[in-house]
Amino acid sequence: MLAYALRRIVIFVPTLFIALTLIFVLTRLLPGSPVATLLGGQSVNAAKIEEVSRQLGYDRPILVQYVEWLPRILSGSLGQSLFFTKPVAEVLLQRLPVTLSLTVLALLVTIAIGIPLGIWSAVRRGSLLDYSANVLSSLGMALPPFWLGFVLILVVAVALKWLPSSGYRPIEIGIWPWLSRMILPTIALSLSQIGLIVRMTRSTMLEVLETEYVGMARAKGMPERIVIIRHALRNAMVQIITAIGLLYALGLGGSVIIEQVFALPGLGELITTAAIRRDYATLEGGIFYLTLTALLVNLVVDLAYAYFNPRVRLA
Amino acid sequence: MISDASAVLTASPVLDVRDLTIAFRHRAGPVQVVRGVDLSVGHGEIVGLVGESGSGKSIFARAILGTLPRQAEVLEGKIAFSGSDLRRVPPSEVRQLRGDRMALVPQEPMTSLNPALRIGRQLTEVLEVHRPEIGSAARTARAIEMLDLVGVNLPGERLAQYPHQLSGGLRQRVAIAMALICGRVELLIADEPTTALDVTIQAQILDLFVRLQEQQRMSVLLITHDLGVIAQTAQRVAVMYAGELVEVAGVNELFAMPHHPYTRGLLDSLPRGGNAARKSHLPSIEGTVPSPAAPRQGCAFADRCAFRVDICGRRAPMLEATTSGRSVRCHRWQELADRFACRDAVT
Repeated sequence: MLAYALRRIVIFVPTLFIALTLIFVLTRLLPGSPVATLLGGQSVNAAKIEEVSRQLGYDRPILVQYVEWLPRILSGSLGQSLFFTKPVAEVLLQRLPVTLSLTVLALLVTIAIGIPLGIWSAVRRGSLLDYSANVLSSLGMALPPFWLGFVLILVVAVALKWLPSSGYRPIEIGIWPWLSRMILPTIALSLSQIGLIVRMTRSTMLEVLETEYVGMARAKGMPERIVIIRHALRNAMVQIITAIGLLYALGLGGSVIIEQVFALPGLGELITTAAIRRDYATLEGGIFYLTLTALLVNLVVDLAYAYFNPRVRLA
Repeated sequence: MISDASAVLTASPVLDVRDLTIAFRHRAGPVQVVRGVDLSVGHGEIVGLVGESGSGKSIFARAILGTLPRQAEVLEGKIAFSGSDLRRVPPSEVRQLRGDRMALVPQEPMTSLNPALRIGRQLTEVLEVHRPEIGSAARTARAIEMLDLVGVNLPGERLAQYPHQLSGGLRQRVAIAMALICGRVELLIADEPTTALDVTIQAQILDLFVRLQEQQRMSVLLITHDLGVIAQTAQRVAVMYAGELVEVAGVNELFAMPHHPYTRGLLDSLPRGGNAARKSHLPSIEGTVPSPAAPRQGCAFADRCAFRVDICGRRAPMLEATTSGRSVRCHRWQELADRFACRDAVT
């Protein structure tokens, strides 16, 4: 297990390197320049733009910029934004808890609801519950999260006034102020994910329940609860876990939109603004943080994968 | 229905199946995969159940254990285990019998052990469920003792291993240990226990089987398509074809003089000294088992039978008792038995 974990961690390094390179290249491929935005668009003359670009170092060859940029971002100092008075790292660290709250809560809710529902659907295949879960998960996957967000705001926040409609309070202020503002965005983000995980769990469980070793567990007189949890689910988890890793990446994408809908000052909202302004430092830093969380989640997934699959662990 | 030879052998059988009919639910209506089977296994007896794949053997075994797949159901009949009709016993009580007083040795050792659980866990959990009074240390000791009994080397170390670290033969030994670990098995159902193994390992496992059966004085229902396995182990044989028993006989009688043309075909397709010397090809039975969904008139084997006459296609034969306490389902068994007795006398 230790050797496997070390291998996964070593692989983490080149993955991070590739991700960083992609972040840099894709950001620079964006048409337009931060200088033009900074100086106020079309009306500024070309000479002025060139001069500021030179001052900022944007006129140098892209490779030179990259070689200088890479060690800097790895050391965590993400540079100075052209639009904020604070260093980028400080801005990002302020925003990170918002996005983490949203994506991690959504993932936890997805796991807590999706997996049991999927198991239940598989075990009670063809029952009313199975059909209802099927309809709900289709619906969840079909409804766009932003639309769901608007509906939730209108119904729960505006009409019923049960929960605040938008904004963010840090958890330090108190659990409820924080949680009450996270509930609706979490629902909006997790509903489509739940649909996915229910289906994934259901089909994997159906497959595993047909295997000979599950038949053997029954032939040994194991109670149905043990057959399902210990014998079937444990094996199904290998595939479910993989799906969870993918889901987190999907959730990050969804969070960018959800943060806009619920006016959450998270990384997604920051990245959107930075992209529009071609604010390279903030954009790159923001995506770097999101990438890092996704890579970490996948590292945990890989380790969990080994836990559930001894053939991987001992290979 | 006429009783089979078991009544002669034992007074009260461990397993007594009467008129068992099993069907798969299907859109077009139930499809019968086992029809009116009567079979009993006496105390300390090894009964072989032979048939081609698709003949209904495994479904029959699962019906006895009460672990039929969800799309299958018992339509009628009685499954008496140690005197009580399992169809009238609540499923939770049947579950408590499984793995304790009746146990299964599965067909595929490669796939019937759970790949995610250690060998030790898979052995001790049986005790946990059926013998809760035994403590954890005693359970482990018992698991080691069982592995040792079935000839697994380094039993203590095996407990921490996973199935994929074991060879097929070892896994089947583990499966046998798992079936016997509670120490109270009255009926062991072995569903093709050696089919997936190498020939040399097959012989070892069969030897182990016979030895354990004698030691533990249990009854065994041995399901196989391999008459060679039956010849080495069983005392009595039931031959199943397309969900019906076509012949039931003592193993010596059956091998000496098969009454049903299907049994004869099975025996002829066994490689034997004389056979191999005469011919380069083994004879085989032409055709395949008819689909259980196909409408059936007359004898199920008629289409493949070399001795078919008019009546075979029109009227289904009954399982009838022969003079020697055997039973056979064939219109012409008497006539054929006479003919083959003559021929065998000549050659």
